[in-house]
Amino acid sequence: MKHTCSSLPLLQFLLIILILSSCEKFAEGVVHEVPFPEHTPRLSATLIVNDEDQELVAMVTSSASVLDSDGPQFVQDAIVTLTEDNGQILYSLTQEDFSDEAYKLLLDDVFGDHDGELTVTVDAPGFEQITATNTMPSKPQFDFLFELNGDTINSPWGIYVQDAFTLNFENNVGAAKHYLIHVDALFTDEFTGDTLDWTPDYLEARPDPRITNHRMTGGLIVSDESLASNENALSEINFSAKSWGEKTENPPVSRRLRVVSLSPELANFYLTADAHLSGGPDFFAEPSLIYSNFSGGFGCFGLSSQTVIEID
Amino acid sequence: MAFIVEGAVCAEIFEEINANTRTVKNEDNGFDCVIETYFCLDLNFSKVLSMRLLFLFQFVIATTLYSQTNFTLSGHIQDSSSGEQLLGATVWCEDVKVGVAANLYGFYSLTLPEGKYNILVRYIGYSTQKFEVNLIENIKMDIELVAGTTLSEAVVTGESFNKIEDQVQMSKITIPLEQVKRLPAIGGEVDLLKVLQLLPGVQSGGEGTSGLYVRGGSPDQNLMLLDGVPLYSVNHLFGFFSVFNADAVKNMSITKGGFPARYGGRLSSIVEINMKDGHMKEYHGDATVSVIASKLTLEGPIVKDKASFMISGRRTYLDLLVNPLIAATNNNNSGVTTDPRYFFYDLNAKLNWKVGKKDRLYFSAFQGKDDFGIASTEDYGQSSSSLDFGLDWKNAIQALRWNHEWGPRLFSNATLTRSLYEFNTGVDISEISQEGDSLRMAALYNSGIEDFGGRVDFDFAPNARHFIKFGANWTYHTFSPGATALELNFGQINNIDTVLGPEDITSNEAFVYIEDEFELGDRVKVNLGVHASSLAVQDSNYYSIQPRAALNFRLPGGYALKTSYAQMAQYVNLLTNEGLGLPTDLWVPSTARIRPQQSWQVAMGVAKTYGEFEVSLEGYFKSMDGLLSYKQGSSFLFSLDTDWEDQVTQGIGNSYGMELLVQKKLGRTTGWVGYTLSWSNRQFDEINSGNWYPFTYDRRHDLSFVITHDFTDKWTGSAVWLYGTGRALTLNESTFSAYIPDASGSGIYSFSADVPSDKNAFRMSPYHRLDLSLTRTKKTNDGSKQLIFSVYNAYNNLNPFFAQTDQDDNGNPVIREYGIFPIIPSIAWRYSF
Repeated sequence: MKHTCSSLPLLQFLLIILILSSCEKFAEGVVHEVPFPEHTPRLSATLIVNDEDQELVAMVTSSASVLDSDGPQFVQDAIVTLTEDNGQILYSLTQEDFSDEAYKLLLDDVFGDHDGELTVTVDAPGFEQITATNTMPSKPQFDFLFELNGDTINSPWGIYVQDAFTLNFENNVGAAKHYLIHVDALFTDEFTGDTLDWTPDYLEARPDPRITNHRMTGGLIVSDESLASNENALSEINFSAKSWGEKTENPPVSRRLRVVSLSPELANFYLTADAHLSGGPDFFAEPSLIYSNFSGGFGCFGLSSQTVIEID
Repeated sequence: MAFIVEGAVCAEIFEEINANTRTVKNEDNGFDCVIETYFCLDLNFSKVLSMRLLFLFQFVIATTLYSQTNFTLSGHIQDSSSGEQLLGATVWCEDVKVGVAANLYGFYSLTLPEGKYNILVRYIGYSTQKFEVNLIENIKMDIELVAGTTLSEAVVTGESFNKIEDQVQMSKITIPLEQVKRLPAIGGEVDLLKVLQLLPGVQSGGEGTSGLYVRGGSPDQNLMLLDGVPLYSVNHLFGFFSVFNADAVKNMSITKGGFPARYGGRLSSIVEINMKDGHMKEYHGDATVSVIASKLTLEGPIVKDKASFMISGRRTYLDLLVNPLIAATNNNNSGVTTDPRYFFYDLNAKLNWKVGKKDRLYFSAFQGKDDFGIASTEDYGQSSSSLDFGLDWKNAIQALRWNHEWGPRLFSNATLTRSLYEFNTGVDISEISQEGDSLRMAALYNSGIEDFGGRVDFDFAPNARHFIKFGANWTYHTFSPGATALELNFGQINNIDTVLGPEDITSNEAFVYIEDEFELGDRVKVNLGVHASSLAVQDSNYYSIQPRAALNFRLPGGYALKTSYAQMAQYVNLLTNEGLGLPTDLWVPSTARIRPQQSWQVAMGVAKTYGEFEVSLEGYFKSMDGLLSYKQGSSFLFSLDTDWEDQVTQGIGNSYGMELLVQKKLGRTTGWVGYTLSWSNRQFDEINSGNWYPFTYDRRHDLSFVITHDFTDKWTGSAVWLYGTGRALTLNESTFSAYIPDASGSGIYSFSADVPSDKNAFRMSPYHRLDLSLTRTKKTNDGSKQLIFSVYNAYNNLNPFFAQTDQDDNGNPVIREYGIFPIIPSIAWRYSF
């Protein structure tokens, strides 16, 4: 059977017209801009307090749309109120305390330990009030072993000698605990002989699911959240420390081990902030969200307590 | 769910079955009794249903074994010219209105009471054969059908059997390969998986990619079977092409739900693709040259009518074409050479040997590989350096298959299989300094999976109204979830040669199944079965009993009401970014920490054939558990000290919707219209604050028109138009500032951070595209030549591929969608002999 088709030339003509009429799109590549909903600014507050702190630092900003080229703005007319669970106001930071990006209030003494829940309330004109609560964790209880130059690594770049630490934490079964570990070194100036400030060491831990390298602070976060049922969950925490500025002819005059007990909320904030900011752009990963315990806003109110031990 | 048999008659029947005394007959039809079935939802159903199913099988076996004197007409149905087995061809007895379909290997078995019968044998695209048979003994008859030269010349006569309303199986779609080959193709390279994406309930991962998302499922929930062997990666060129070479393929189908018991191991779909067996009588070949690749397929007899072969190869040649240009460029840059490379190839081969009248052996093999990389050297006289980056992945499968007819009613297929998928990427940097010091750093990451398996399947047709399948399968998996080999050489000192990363994981997966497709009177057809599977991994054992049921109830007016229920379990998982079919996707097993994926799915629909149009409308609901996803912020870019199990989280999901398919397979004009209205949602405790969110491929509307038309004997045209709701995506919505104490503890470290929207709260623009194709065929003395013109995205609608933050002309930040596929015309030339 032989078919004929008179419409074929017409189809060919239409095809050519169709192709030619759309050629201007070749070079652009952009489909269109994604319409974004109007952003309603919300307050973001950060107040992180250690029991040894002698100054309160609170940062309050307004959130901004990602399409806002000015970005988040500091809110200078906010009132940050810290109250105890009995309703008594502990501290209040106001516009007078604002300087250099944050509200700063010098305390008469260290912040110290506080039983019960503390609440932060942030009020600012034009914004909805935001609040967060937190509880001061108890000071870290641990014993440790220190071995000077106890960890030697042969690498292509030379032989690395580091100090070795082993920490054994007391672990309350059933309670999640998080610790941030730092090791600091104290040097004297090579020329003047003056004592310099404490300098944080570089810490390195072998792969251990309990230990997270916290890149923002350079410390190690030790966590027992997934191992809370084990009494020995936080024993044998091994890591090495290396002083950046150490020289054979000018060794540290002293070292100290600084262990900070973090409230679960603060640990979550530390970890998610580190994952969000320090991981680098990962095209393949889903966007991650930094933890916040402020209802109706962003940021974190976190409490911590620390133990510092100098090592001779 | 509970299975209830109602009525006093049925109660009597079951008593008799328990006594195992005599056959039960229904006087209306002379065969079996009519049982009314009802299904109702009950969360603790599986045990109850399993017991009921076992009970029903007793009944079925009793009714089938104690029947009157029957004889069987059996044999193979094959193409008269090539000897190719015609799976799905139907044998229909007009006198008693019963029929059977040939199985995957062309074997049929029709058992009838003694007598004379008029038999019709039919297959799409072939002339119907009609003959009379006097069944006074078992008769073995191999039937050869004559192919029409084109689909349009297929002869349609007599009362049809195995129309869509006759089939118990629902949610299964078969597309004739001849139709597939005439559809428009990007770069002139026909892609079978992209054709499947045009079907209702099936979505692509993104513009141009071959990933399949079936009824809200992930790509790893599709069991891709090439000649019955699971294939773990189906992507070439980063997912823009699939590994299936249309010239080597005999047929393909996809099953999206209502899974019969013989299928298992995946939650969402079974894609079956079978290679050609090879021409038994003459040598034939196809050569195709397109702008992307060239293909050559040869087939023919090794011993005429006894043994045959088929071999088909395909290779891209962009690298070969640009090599002279690169060489010329390198010659102009003294001391510096750069050699990029990319190619893929695949090779299909099959041997087919009729060992005797009752035995047949097949050997199938496939190998495909992608190789991408760049090598560069810099030579400055006394010092030199070199860099070699490579990324390659490959698939290989082998299958040895033995078909045996144990008698006219019992057929078996035993298969030994191997499937391998490997991914490697690495970089090798070396440098020689002026002083002669040498430095070399090399890192090679590899991952993969290797399976060895054995399977046996039996087809048992005790009479014309029962078709029983049973079998067993065992697979030994070896997973390599990503290891990195490091080699560092610094002259004479401190060389490192080590391997970092997780160790291989092995597992044993097994299943057994039994199913029976049977008729209950004139109006009801049922397929009942049970699939039981197990996994042994890392000292953990998982077991799963999966009941399967499908029912076809013929309504007045030729309509069929169909319903199905299927539970599925899956013991392998693909860790993947959602979208691109990247070779970095990582296959990992269920482990002691990662529980298996499970699902149940119910579907209900109506089907009817209107003239040459098959119409089906289905609604479905699927519930899934144990779904695996990267945690927020995680991806395949593992740090070396992190276990992949720590990077993932498990959750649940559901999908529901309706699908409409109007399909025309015969005539000068063929094609289909498919429409899907669907919802698909997921919930993970560690994603989106634990709230439900739309799956990335939640697509409310999905519409496709596919048409091919023979204008004349020489000219054939085809067109595809598709439309889909935009893909869901998560975007950063806002930013805020915060601080943490610095390393010393006495200062602050302030930062700004983005706040993402709720998971998948945004939608990309809708997707729509028109593809056109025009083929000119010229007959030659020994075959034909074809010139194929294709236009992909004919009206040049730049569909969104990805979105990112950018700056507008005023420097203000904006979020833009980018498309990467403009209009792409192409031409291909094909010679068949």
